[in-house]
Amino acid sequence: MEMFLSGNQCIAHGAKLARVEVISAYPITPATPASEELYEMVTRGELDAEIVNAESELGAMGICAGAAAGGCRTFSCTCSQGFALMREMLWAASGMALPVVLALTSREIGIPQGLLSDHSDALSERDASYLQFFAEDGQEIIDSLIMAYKISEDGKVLLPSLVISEGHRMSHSFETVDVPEQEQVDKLLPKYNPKHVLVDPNYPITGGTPVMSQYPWFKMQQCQAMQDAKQVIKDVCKEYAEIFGRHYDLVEAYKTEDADVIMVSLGSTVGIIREKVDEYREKGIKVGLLKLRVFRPFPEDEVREALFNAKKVLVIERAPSPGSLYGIACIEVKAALQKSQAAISNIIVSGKDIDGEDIDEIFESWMSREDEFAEWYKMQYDERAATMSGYDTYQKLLNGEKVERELIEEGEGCLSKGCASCAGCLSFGAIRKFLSVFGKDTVAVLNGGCLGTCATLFPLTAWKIPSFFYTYSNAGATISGMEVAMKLKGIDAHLIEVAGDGAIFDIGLQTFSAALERGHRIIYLCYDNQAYMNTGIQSSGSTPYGARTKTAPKGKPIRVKNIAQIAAAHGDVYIATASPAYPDDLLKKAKKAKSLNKPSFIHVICPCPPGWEYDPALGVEIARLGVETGAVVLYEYENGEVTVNKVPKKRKPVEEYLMKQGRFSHLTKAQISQIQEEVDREFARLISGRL
Amino acid sequence: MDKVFIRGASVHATGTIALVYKTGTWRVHDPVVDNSKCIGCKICSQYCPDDCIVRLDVDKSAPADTPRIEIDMEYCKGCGICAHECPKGAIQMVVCEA
Repeated sequence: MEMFLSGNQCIAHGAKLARVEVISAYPITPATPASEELYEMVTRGELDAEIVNAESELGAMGICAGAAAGGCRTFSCTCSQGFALMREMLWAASGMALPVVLALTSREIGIPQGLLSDHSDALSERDASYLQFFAEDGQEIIDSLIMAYKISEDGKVLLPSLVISEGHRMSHSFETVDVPEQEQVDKLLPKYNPKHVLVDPNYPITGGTPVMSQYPWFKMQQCQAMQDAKQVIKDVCKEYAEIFGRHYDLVEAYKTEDADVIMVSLGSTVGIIREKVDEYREKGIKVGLLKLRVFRPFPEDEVREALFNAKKVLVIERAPSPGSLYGIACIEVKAALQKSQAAISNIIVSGKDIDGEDIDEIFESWMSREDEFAEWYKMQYDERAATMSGYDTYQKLLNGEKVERELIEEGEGCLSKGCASCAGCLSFGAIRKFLSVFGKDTVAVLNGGCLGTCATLFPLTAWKIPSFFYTYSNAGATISGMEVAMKLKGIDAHLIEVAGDGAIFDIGLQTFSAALERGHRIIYLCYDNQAYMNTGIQSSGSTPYGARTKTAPKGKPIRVKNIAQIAAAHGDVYIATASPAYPDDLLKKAKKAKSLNKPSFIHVICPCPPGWEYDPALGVEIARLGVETGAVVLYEYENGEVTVNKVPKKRKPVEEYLMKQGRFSHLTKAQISQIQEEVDREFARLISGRL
Repeated sequence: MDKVFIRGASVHATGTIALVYKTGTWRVHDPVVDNSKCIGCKICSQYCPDDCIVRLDVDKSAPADTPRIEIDMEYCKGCGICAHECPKGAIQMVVCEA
């Protein structure tokens, strides 16, 4: 059936047609819409699958590996940092011979964090024993995903697969694709029924036993399975072509037979080059194209056959290999062609968008040269950006000159105007207010989330104090290291970790917990907007029961995690909640945290206009209603005692708070009563002094 | 300059975002202050999430229609929180002229 789909929707349709049974993913731009689409398919009853909300990508991969061992067909999608965080479980899953299939919408990997597609995330895991399929367009995403399950689950292979597309360039572009019929896919892809690894109480096995001297043998077997996969891929492609009429192979050699010069590429760039090859052929140039569709197992024979007799070969690719002159694909091509006379050159484009004119320029320059070269294509240096980033100041610093920087005083505010936060964003309001009691002797660390992306974009920054934007899972670790360094250097500074609910409740909980346990003098400011708002409203551990998010289209079925109890379990920690509707209370708590010589955790519940679905003007009113109804309780916790700071004379019904927010509009009377009971219970407990 | 950026995408300058992101251009509604109603209570300025409102130092004996607050229209995003929270109804949100 013909459909007009984005790359991410193609991923979802591919997984759906493969009848995946367990899906687990973690929000990350630009891969998130693929899992959101799957949530909707499950909610609409079009797909019978279990979706497990993971707390991180590492968790998502672990859930997939566990479910695959339990005999289920599994799926996840991610990219960039998220894929990097999966790494430990990636290797575990391939070692355990679990045919997990992942869709990777490749994205530039940080630091610096970028949003376009560089293939480094995928190709730096080329040795993790994953079959790697590089899709050129949406059609190929769907087809490759379906085939990937068939190939991965083959008894001769039993290795996981990665189906790689390109972030934003493909994931967010729409095109017409032929979506296969379910009955036909079912013919190709039977139910997953593993024999080698299976969790079954009636058939006990011990999986993943440690080894001593036998390790190389296991590794050799894994490498052999990868080699054996080549024939399986060819067979499955043949079968696929017979059913669906679309032909795929390890590589696509396009007009290479008589070609003197051949361009080699992978991913979306291939489509542009193919058109250009036709154009150059019309001019009488004997040019060809080799598309590396499968990168692992690397098709040496096919590459050699297609390229051996060419005079010149040019590999145009997105993944550099720092330390090598050549990109990762070019290194492989060179290895395959070591006895050929061809001059093999390399153009690395990383995340740069490439169009037909770029290919013209690259081709023209290449044709005019006889040497072998490896170059970065048309790197644009932005002098204005460099100047704005303070390059001159930096040079003075390097030269040992005296540098006078403008420093803020207490009360001036640590963030400038011009932040790209949404109109009426109360998270920013609360953060600004909180930081206003701090001055120049303050260091901020942030991890993913709205604050990082709205307050900074090279060379722009809103920060007036030192600030560091580290990865998402590091809510407690990097700042702990900084605190230790500050002590060693004899610098008396306030260290503030400004993190969203995702970074504290979920992906960063481990590092947050360890930092609290160690007792570093750090202030954790959690701006809690109760979901992953930066990636577009997915449920977090802080999303309240019943709230609608993209990953809970019918409302979140489980209650919120009690983060204060977790923080309190670490001993001597000052814990306080705050609300943007009560700025004086917020300031009081900020000052208290600043004065203490121990860890503090300030939890500010911040209404979010797009995520909570309300008119931005009503933000403060909603925050106030939260406190007046008892849905949000403002308290401080110290020495094992809770002190409630704002006790409403008569608590309003929680319905008044809920019904101002679109995310609760679907709730039934019974659900509202249930929430009211929960609020009453929580309030009674806190007012009695217990956390 | 030797055609390099500072490694790690570090910025050795502060507040540069305000030079480029003039968020006032986002506005679809302008906050319009009725000075005769404004009492300079500061509620709007403490709730403005973008720190765009300052209370002016005005003597109590000043004429009733003396401006008591100033809104930074270069950065105000027009969210309307100030108008909604004003206890005197002194701020109206008015559709921006094209």
